[in-house]
Amino acid sequence: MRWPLVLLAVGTAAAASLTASSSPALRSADAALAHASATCSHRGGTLTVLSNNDVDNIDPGISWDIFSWTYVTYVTQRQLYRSDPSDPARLIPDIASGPPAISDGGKTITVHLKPNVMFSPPVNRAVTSADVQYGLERGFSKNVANPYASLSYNLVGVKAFTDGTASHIAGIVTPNTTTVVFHLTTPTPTAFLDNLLNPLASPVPADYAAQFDKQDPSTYGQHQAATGPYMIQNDSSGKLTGYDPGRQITLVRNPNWNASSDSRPACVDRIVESLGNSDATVASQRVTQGSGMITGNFEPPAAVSEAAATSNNGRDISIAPTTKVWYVSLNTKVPPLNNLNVRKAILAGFDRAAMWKVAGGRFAGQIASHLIPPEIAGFAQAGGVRGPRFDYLSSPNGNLALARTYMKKAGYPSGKYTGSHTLLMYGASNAPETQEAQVIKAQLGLLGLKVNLKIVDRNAMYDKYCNVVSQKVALCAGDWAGVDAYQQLYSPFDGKAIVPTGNSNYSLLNDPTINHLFDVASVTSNTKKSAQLYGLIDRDIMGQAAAIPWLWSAHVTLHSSDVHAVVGGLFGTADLTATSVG
Amino acid sequence: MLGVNEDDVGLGDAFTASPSLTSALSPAALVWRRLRRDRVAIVALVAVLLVTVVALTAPLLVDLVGAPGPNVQNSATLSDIGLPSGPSSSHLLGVDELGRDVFSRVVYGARISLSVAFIATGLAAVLGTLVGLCAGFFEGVVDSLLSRTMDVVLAFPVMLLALGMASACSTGKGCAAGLVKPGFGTVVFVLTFAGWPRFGRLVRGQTLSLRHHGFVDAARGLGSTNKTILFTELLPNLVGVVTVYATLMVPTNILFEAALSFLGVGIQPPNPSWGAMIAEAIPVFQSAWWFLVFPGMALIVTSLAFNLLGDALTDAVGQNQ
Repeated sequence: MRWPLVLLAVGTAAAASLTASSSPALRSADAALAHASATCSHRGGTLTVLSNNDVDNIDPGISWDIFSWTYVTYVTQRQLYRSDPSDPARLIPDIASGPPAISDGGKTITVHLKPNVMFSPPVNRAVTSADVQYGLERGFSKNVANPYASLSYNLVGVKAFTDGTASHIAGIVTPNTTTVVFHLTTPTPTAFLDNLLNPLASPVPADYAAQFDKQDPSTYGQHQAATGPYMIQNDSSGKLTGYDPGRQITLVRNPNWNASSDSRPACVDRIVESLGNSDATVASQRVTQGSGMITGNFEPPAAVSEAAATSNNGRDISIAPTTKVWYVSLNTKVPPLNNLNVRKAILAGFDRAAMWKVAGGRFAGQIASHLIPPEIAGFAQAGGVRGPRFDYLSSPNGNLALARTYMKKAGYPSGKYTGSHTLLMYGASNAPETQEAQVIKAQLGLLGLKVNLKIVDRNAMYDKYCNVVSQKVALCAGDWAGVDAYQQLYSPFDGKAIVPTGNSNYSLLNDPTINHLFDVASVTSNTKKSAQLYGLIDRDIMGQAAAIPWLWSAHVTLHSSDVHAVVGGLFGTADLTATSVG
Repeated sequence: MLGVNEDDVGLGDAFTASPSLTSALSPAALVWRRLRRDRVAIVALVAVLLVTVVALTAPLLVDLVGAPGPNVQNSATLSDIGLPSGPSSSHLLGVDELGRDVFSRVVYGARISLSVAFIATGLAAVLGTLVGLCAGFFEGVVDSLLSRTMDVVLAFPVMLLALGMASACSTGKGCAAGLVKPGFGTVVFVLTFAGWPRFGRLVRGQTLSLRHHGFVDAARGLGSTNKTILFTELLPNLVGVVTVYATLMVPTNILFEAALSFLGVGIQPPNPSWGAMIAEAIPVFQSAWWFLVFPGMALIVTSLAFNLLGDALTDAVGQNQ
């Protein structure tokens, strides 16, 4: 699974920047303290970020990958609101001048803008409500075709706009240059505000961008204007000179950025994103042995993390919990997985602790027992650390005897599968996912289940196989990260989300009870009741044994000894606007 | 005809070889006699035989030392951050990153390496010999066509072909109705494709030389067909040189298979392959040296043994001609 197409919502997520010697549990007090003191230990210098691959798309209105968002977009683009870095459960105004006004039973949201948020050169003017409107609307256009626009923004008049019968989305109204009013089709203001943190909600200057958006596909990404403290280096015409695909992205200070309008400290003068560092060991060692460097979108090998944790008083490593959950989807329509007892047998016998070790043990996160991670509301209601009280989930090390009991209930008297079906499984070709796939294959082999494992490129694993229902992939191992329980669970487990291609419900789970619970929970604004409902949904999904959750992920960031890294947020990544060098 | 000199029969200047004694020895016996006196060759031969025995008796050997099977994972042998444990009484050569016994995987890896190398070399030898025989015997247009084909194939970037095939044929059911997909089949195909023109050129050259010898004219004079001349007169004279060249090709193919597996386009996991094991070991080398060293040593020793044996055979057979 990928980082979901819609991200960032209010939840009970807490940013925690931890040293390796501390327990990998949430410590929001430490996080708040860490961020409060993130006012630049030193100003100036160049920060180099080492990552293993390029952004999925340089255009903020198109990209969906978390790397693109956290390491590029959120450094160069501002949205109406953003998560409070010290308490991601809280939204703070960014371009907005204050909290939103919600009316009409939750179907109308009014936001006022700060007058002094400026676009970078060559646009050189203040952001207006029309720019907010255009930024969202372009996502629905054919030439931009944002992958999550239709899922995230339940605005009135979207269909007429996409059909071409309306020149604007009727649900976005701009009565003056500093006010924007959103009209929703359903009273889901919380979810809508969450989605205003997505990069698609970044304002885009129509007078400048329209010429590029006329091309198919749009070339605005190569000429983008910034509103954040940094911008991708460009020439006087606005064409990016700081983006060398697959190799490097160079961010420089946005000369028009108004520090008084922004709480970001913006410590360094320049950020160099070095891409294509495919060897995680080499890249990690370069960071810890070099200067001015920090790891980006990959997980350092456990051996290197261990070395960093035991040297320099563990100051060169940060481990932060994330909302990412790793699990193995079991296709409920493919025999013999279409037998509930077979699925329960698999869960019962599965050694989740072995997977956790292979992933890096305590550096990887916590062993999962259900699908909502600790940072998201609904976690406790789903059973907390121990998980729902099903016997087949009670042993993280697996219980083969219990597994064989379930296989007997499934109609295999020997306790092992004796049928002729082979389960098709795809695994990603990068470490440690290749190793994890082999663990899964071996684990299922203990129950007599034959797995045809194919190792392919990670993107191909999703785009060509797991996301395509007709491929009949029985097992898909990957990760999913939502920022609230709805985003964590809806696309992967609601029957209504099943589509022939681009599908995320790899289990093809279509349980009427669970589907109905989703419908009820999605319009529940009471946070306590919402948490209870999603906790129940999580438990019911585990009751259907539709997936094997095995890791609530943490993210490890290594940095050079002269880097004061600020790490946290919902994805446990480095905040490049608050990290300093020197 | 095989020539004989005094040294070959182990007699010094004080004696002369007895023609009746030397002419009674077969060519193979003469080769063996020469090999026997080369200590390096003997050591290499013993090593080759040892590796072959290990490959053939892998299951027995693993059972004998009480090691688990090559794909048996044991997470209890991993540390709390997933680092493998080293050599011990229960795991002679340590374990890998999934807790699999390295000794067991090295031993089973010998099967994969030798199987791939022998099969690919054999197929390349057969195909190349046939093509070379035809090219060298028929000459003219046939020779030109076949020789240019061999030139083209030799100029082909084989590694890129392997990478491209593995990539293109890793999706769905593979290529050619499922016959070609990453793994054993593709590796053998690529190695055969790369190897046959080398045999072809060698055999062509030898055939060009032999076809003008008297025995060929005599056979033709006796009414033998081209087919008979090719397979009963010429081919037996080429067996020696093809065998020697094959011995030198085997280690090349072992290394090439390891390289493909190292790059992830050869033998697919969880099947043990020395190349893949080396690739997996690199990220943890600093904390798990055994995982890299033992498969690496196996690869080096096996390749070296075959190379040395091939060199010695070249010398031994070459002295006959």
